[in-house]
Amino acid sequence: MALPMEKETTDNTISVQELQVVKDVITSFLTAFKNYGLYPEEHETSKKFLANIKTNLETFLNAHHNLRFQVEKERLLYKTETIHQGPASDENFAFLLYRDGIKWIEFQKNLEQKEITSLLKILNHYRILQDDPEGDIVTALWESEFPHIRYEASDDLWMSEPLLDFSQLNVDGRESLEQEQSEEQQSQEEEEDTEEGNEKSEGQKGGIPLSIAAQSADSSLWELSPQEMAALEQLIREDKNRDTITDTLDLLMIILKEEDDKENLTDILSFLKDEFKDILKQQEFHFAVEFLKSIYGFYRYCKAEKKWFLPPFVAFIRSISSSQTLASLLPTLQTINTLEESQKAFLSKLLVSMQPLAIEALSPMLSEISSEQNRDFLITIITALAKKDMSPLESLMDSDDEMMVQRIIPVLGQLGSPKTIDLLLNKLLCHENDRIRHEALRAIIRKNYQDFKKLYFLIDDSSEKIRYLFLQYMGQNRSTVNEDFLRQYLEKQEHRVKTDDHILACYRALGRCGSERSVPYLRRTLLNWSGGLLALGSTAHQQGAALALKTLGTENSKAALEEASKSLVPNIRKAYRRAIEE
Amino acid sequence: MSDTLQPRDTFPNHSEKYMGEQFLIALNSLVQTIRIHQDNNQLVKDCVKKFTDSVHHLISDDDSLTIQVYGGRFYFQDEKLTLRKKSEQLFKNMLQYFEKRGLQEMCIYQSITNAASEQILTFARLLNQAEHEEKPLDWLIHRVEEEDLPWVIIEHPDEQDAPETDDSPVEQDKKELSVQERKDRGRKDYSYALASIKEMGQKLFTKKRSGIRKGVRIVQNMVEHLIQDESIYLTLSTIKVYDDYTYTHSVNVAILSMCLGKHIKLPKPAMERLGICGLFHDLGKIWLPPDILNKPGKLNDQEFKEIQMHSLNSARLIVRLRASRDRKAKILLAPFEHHLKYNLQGYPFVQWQKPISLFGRILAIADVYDALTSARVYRSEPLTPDQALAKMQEGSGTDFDPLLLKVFINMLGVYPLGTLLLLDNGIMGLVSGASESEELDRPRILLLEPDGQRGFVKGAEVDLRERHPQTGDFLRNVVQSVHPSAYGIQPAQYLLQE
Repeated sequence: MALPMEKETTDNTISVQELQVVKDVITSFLTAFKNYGLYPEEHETSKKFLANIKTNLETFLNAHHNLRFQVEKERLLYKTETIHQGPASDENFAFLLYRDGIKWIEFQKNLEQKEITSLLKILNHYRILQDDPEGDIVTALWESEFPHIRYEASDDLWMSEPLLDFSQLNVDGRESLEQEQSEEQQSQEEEEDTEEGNEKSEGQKGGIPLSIAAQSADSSLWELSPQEMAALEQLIREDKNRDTITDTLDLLMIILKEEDDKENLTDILSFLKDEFKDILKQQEFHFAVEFLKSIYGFYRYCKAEKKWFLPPFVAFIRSISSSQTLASLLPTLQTINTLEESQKAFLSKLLVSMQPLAIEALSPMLSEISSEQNRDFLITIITALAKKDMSPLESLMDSDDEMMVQRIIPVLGQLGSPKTIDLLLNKLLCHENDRIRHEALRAIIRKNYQDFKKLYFLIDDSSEKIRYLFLQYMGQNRSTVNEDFLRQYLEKQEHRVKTDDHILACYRALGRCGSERSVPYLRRTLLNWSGGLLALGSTAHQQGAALALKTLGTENSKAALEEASKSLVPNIRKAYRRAIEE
Repeated sequence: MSDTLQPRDTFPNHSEKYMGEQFLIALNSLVQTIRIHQDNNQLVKDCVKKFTDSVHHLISDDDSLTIQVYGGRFYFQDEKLTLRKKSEQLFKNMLQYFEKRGLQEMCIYQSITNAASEQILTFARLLNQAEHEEKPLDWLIHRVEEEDLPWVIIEHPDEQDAPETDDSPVEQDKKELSVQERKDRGRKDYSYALASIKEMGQKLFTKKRSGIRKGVRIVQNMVEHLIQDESIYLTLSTIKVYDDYTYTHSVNVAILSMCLGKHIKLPKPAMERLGICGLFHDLGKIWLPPDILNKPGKLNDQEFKEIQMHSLNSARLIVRLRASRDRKAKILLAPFEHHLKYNLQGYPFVQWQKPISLFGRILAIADVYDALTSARVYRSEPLTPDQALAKMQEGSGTDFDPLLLKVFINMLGVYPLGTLLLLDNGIMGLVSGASESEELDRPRILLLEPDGQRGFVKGAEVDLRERHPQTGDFLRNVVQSVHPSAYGIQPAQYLLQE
């Protein structure tokens, strides 16, 4: 098989058919390039664009083995034909290639789709080249090691640099030395202490060393034994697997300690932050825990030794707890149940060790997590953080993300401090969202909150679910206070909710929390026949009173019910029957 | 000697899969032996026989034997050569031998069985001579035709078939470059690398930020080119510029490190990172006051402390570079470590008890070697390369990783390229080629002849293994190595420039 490159014909004639296929290739490439970034990689449209390029390229490469485009400032040429032309702008990929010094680019047979995708990614990434950048299209192509894309780049970057003339280089500094030697009282010992330290100190110690040629008969000086060869291979393997993350972090901590320049400090902290983000993205939570430990250790060091460091360092600590840093955790938290237990434990340890500010980053994730089990994990974390400082949690209560607010309420319930109760009572129970009020009430109930007076307003809540829950809660224990409130509420008949169900629920609650003191009122209500003998049905109040009397179960309440059972008024009897049947 | 081929059982116990290796051994012996001995020498006759035998075994049932070099590997009859560890050095030498001649494919036909031994010797001499020609491959093809050697055809890359391979193609056109063109390319790379690191250093010094695009580009170029022709880059690494030590030293360390990386078979992306580490390893020196850096006398404690911070400062400056976190994380550690010894002594004096990374160990070796061989304000008489290696050898296992140091010495040879040797006939010469045989202390050298104006001009290139035809004594012997700076000699000027 011939090398595709060398097989290329030197004949510059192009058939109409050949030219058409090349034009198809370039058209499909241009379309994909223009639309790159508009759609995600997995989107059908993106896939279609890529498939078009591949099909067109395959058509050509099957017949010709390779397709080389010569690159000029504003155009691409195939052999002698201009097949693409455009202005010198970052929208024109011919110009981008030219700008970075590419002279030609070639696609070879068996080109894979992932190569095309990566090439488009590179072109797009370097579409706009910053001043003095990290790299360019050429460096990226080199690092990609594409098996079927080749190119040649010019040295234009150094166009203005003269080439070294070796004969003009001052090899020995004789002129300088002559001048310096008069000042110099160099001794062998002095030389040991100068610049490079180890190489210098050893270089001259004990006079001029022998040549290694004198020992050249001993091949063990330069020849590796099979065991040594294996050890070297092992060293290379181990280095490849070396934990570079902790190396980098440890080194950065050393650099931080030595740093005394504010501008440099900003750079280091920004680097540290990016490193931390990457650790989170890679789910290396055990490193992240170590990282935080070092950071807090350094914070203590700053407090003692480097006070001027504190403001930027505190800002840095806050920033690593921010949503910008922690956002990458969402996919992990959504699938936390799939993590190994040890991973989960490290993640938990990590998050709990963060600044309470992390609550602001983590809480919104509650809306994005569908599994209750996974949410519970996060709620436990947020609770632990809020125990340190709940102000971030507080500020979240005004959020527009009502789902998040609703899901964060259990945290407040768990905290149970006067402040959280206050927040629940005065903010969340008054929230316009039913679900939030309901969740707040549940949190209150879980805390077994007994100052019912502060909750009475809920009796007229617009949500039946909330009213029902509240009345249920009121009815959990005998309470004269609640009894009096309910009785008055029913007696005055000023309640805003006037549905029968609501009235019945109130009577049921009264039956559960009430006492003998309510029997006269209930008896009176039940046996009231103001509607006359021919009234069509018993009122909700009559039915409710019958229910309450039944629930009270005292001698007097039973007597009142007995009386109702014998009433001449059908509605009263009916109310009695229903109560007994329930 | 008999001109006919020997029967197959010349290698009775040899597995067929190592026949390619046998061929390389035979070819190597042949081309080396004829450099030293006359045609009638028994050793030469034996070598011719072994060579033809090896061809015969490889041809087997075919009409011809095709030997190809592609992607740094040998292919025999389209099969990749199976290489054994013990033959690694031979393989490397032969690969270089082929590369220096631009030789990528040759075909030897059955008719070699009828060839006279003189013809085979002629062929071997042409192979040796080709290296010194301007366009070695074109010259070789032409000369083989002229000499009427019908049993061998040297293919030009434009005509040849490449073996099936899964290696990535290189990015550059595979057009053959002449030796001088390759040398010029190396000179460009060195000049651009030096300019790039200087520019970066200056930007960082003025507190500006600096990108690394040029540095990365030039290191990538150097990786590509030194894989193809390491000797040119090793020669370039001998460049010493007294007034511009830090920057030339950085380029030299980058080159030496990448070459060492190549010898331990690091993949190209790792060589790139290593090269960048080498180029940036002394960036921290930009913060050193020139009066400390260039102080001829003894440094006081404070000055010494400042010097010792430069490796940590290099890491600090790398953090400041305009580059991605990922890239910076990959090139941060080795510059920081380059003055930490293998036994974790050295500096900077910070809490660091981890084993030195592979790149850190490599940089330490390259750094010390280049520093020891450089003339400095505090050391007017630097060590010669062979002395430096001997000195470093003493620190094997304490200062340096012993395995990597061995590979380094192996890579450079006992008389590294560019070493200036004083011969017993009073003439001096620069080592121009590594020893390709076991006689490591007898390399090829380029003789330097005095020009009458305290300078030198290039003389002939000779092999120190050459012997007197009658007495059998070596024609030239090394008295000692001397440092080129003592004579104002820049080896690269003679070895690389026209």
